[in-house]
Amino acid sequence: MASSRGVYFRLGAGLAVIVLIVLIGVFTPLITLLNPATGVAQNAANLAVVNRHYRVNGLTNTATIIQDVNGVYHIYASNNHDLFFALGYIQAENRLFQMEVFALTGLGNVSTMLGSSYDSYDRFWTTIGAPLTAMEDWERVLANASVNPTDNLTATALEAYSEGVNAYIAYAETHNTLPFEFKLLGFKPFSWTPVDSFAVQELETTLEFGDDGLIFALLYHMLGNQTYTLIPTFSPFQSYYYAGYNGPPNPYVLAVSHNTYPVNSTLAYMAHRVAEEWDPLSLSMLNYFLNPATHSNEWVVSGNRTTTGYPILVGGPVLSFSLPAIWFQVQLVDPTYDVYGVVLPGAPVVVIGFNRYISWTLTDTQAISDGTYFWDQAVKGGEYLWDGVWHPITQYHINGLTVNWTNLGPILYQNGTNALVVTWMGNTYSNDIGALLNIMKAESWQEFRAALEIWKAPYQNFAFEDNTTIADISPACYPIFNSTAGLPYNPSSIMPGDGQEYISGCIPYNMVPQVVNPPQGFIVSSNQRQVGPAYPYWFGNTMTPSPGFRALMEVNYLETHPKVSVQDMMTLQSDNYTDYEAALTLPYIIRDLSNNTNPLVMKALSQLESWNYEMNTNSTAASIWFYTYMYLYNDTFIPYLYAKGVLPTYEDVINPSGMGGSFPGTTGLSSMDVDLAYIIMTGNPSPFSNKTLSELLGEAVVQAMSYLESSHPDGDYTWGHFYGFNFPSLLGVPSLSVGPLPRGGDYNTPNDASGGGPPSNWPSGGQSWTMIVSASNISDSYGVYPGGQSENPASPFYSNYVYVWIKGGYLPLYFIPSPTLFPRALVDDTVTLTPK
Amino acid sequence: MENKLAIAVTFIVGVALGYASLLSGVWYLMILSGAIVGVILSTRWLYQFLALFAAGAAANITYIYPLLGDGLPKLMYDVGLIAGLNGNILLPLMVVLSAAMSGAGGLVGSSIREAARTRLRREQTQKAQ
Repeated sequence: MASSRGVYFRLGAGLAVIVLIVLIGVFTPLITLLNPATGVAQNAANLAVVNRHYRVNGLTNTATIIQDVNGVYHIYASNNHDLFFALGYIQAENRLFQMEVFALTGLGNVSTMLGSSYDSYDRFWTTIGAPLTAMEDWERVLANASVNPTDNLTATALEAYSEGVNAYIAYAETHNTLPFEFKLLGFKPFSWTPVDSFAVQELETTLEFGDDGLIFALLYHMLGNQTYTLIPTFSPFQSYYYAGYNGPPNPYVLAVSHNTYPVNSTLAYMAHRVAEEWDPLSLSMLNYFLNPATHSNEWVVSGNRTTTGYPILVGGPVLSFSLPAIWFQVQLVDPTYDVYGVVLPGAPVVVIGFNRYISWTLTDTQAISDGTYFWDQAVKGGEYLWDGVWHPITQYHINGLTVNWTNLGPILYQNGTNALVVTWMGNTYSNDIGALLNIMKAESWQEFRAALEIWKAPYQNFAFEDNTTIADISPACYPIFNSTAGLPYNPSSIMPGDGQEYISGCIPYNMVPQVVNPPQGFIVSSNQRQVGPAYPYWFGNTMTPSPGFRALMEVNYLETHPKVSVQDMMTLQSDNYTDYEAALTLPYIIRDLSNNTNPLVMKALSQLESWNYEMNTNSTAASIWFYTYMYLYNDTFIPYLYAKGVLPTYEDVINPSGMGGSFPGTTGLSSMDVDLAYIIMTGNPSPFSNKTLSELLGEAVVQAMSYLESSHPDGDYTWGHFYGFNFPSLLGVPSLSVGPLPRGGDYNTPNDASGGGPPSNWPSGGQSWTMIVSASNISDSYGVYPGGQSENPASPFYSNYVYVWIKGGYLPLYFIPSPTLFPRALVDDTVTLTPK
Repeated sequence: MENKLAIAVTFIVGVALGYASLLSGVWYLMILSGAIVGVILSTRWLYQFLALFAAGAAANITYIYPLLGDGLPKLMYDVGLIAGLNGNILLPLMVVLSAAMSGAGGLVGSSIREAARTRLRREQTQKAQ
């Protein structure tokens, strides 16, 4: 009997353990994750640095993919189809999770993967029309493919790319190597389609989405015509416009800019509600795209100003940082293409790069309201009013939401019979992928410029170089506003949507900002306004994205260096921390404070007087400048905004601080940084403050010194304590993030982004890809992006570039025309794809 | 000596069946493999349990061994952190779970075998009476 009891006890114990394990498997993902055969352990298989050979359906010939020692993939194929197939395959192997997050985001459906906390994201993308546009773009490309060579090439590339991605998904599902995030989330990857690639491309377009028009309207509601002083149409400082049109302001353009549609309480209420919901800050959960204070740099120098006698092109698009990074670095080679650069995960085109004939880079354009225009339109009973006639509203049912469109665009908010409607240029049909596919094989400026004629959005500046030409162009559909009443209302604010004001077309292509081989021998296009005040078309104001000091510094450098080398360009781009706003204004500040006897002011001046305006990590003067400027900004503008009622009424959407919103929890308005510099140089704070500039400056310096000395009583308050960079993981997991890492610079330097102070407020954005291409020898080209090629955090290629980037370093860009010519010492591993 | 041999055989067969279970991709088959060994091989239950527990762990380690050099520990550490667990325990936890499945299966198997044998004996005794 005792023996029998023992048997049943052991049986019970065994069964209890089994039941426990099964319950763990039912109620937690632990068993799924830890399954040695199918769980996350198998993802280590992708970390092996070994030559691989895959037999895949869909290829027509063998494609060879060499990963060089820096992690860059060089893809060699015998035709376009196989080239893009291989790109899809290798990109999916490295970035599938990121690609699917991107596509779902662009399609307004990311909450299906990441949960309901992303609902606001989905509502945003769905309402503005991004998923509809992605689908329509692909349908139009497909419909025109038989008659339009660019659309045909686009269809070929996107379909082959999708096949490649799906071939990898099939392989990974069979071999249990799907990215572990899918296993953690219990999410099955969807089959990739060309619409997903267009959705990813749409995300790039949403870089341009902005609520400036709403903010301007709210300011106008409170400030009236003083808004034009706070938000000037033209900068008083800018003297360099890459596309010309210097001279006095065009009277018509100035009149339009100062003719703002009245903003009554109802309209202000709607604008406030929409701004609250849609302001990019509240949507910055995913660490991509929506950082409101990131800028970019580009310049190109002609051969007569370089040591080699050939042009040099420098690109530095500033975007939000994330791990994995937004870029994926490749060389693509087939009989049509031999191109090197960075692609977006999910879209098979080199966005910034070079081939053996040309190189190019992109920056955001200044002004022009981010291509986002707002209207006050009457709606009633499912109809909208236009030109005195009621028309039916078009309803789209997508992602579980109903989106109502009028002739002007989607309705963002409705209050009774008043609706706030947005015209977003991202919804304009624009085969950007086709344009880039043509650029990738262009051999001259003529071909390059012709390829960009179909580029309608987003608003970007394209710098260009070949052996003999430097150029820049800002192609897009920039709307021309007209009015039946004569003078149109200011498109920088909300406009009447009753038919009185309308978009009559786009600025003609030969009139969009552009320049070829300018006499000064260089072109800088770093987010400053491209065209001068004399430009005959309305082109926005100074509100975003940049006050222009960065561009002025770059222009100043190039003007004062008649012969530059690749090394000089590296220094200017990545090791030059000159704050040009400090260079412009500090002499005035020092002069103004010279009679101030406050000991803290005298102590500050003793350091500032010998400062070289460099925001170096080891500089204490840099810290004094930053905090003095920031407190001066606050002391000048914040009481004014309170006095006018802007604050606290709209503090959830207008909460500015200096240098693009560098204080924690604040936003930036470029215009106000321009205003402050102007105040310092003219000595007149009116109408923003009743105090004298000397009083404001004295108080700001005392505040700055008190803060610095109290936060660092040892006196070691060098700039490295207050500025550097964070590199957050895609989903914000701290353990997979890198940083904070100190580095010099600030909002006004090429290495720019707003932020500063406590490390948690250090920028998580900056130059997302630094590239220098010498037309004399493309093998003498350099670049790096802060991230790594793999999204797997255990991979040595997850964040390896961060540590190069943070030191201002570069990696050589190996441009090798065939796999047989690839030096063995530069090969990390080889992937061979053969047809099954 | 006989016990040692039985334990060794139990361990070896346990590793082989456990490895085969892992190859199938169905982790729970580790329970079945332990149970099969428990049923077909006769030795003292405690030795059998320990041998199968060790066999489950060994099968798991053998299975993932090729991945250890490819960065598996770092990967498991990172995944553990994402999942809100101590990153260091995930890999050992995987091995312990394999061992527990195999060992528990062995306990159940040996109990079934012993229960069956006891019942057979009882029936034989009743017949003899």
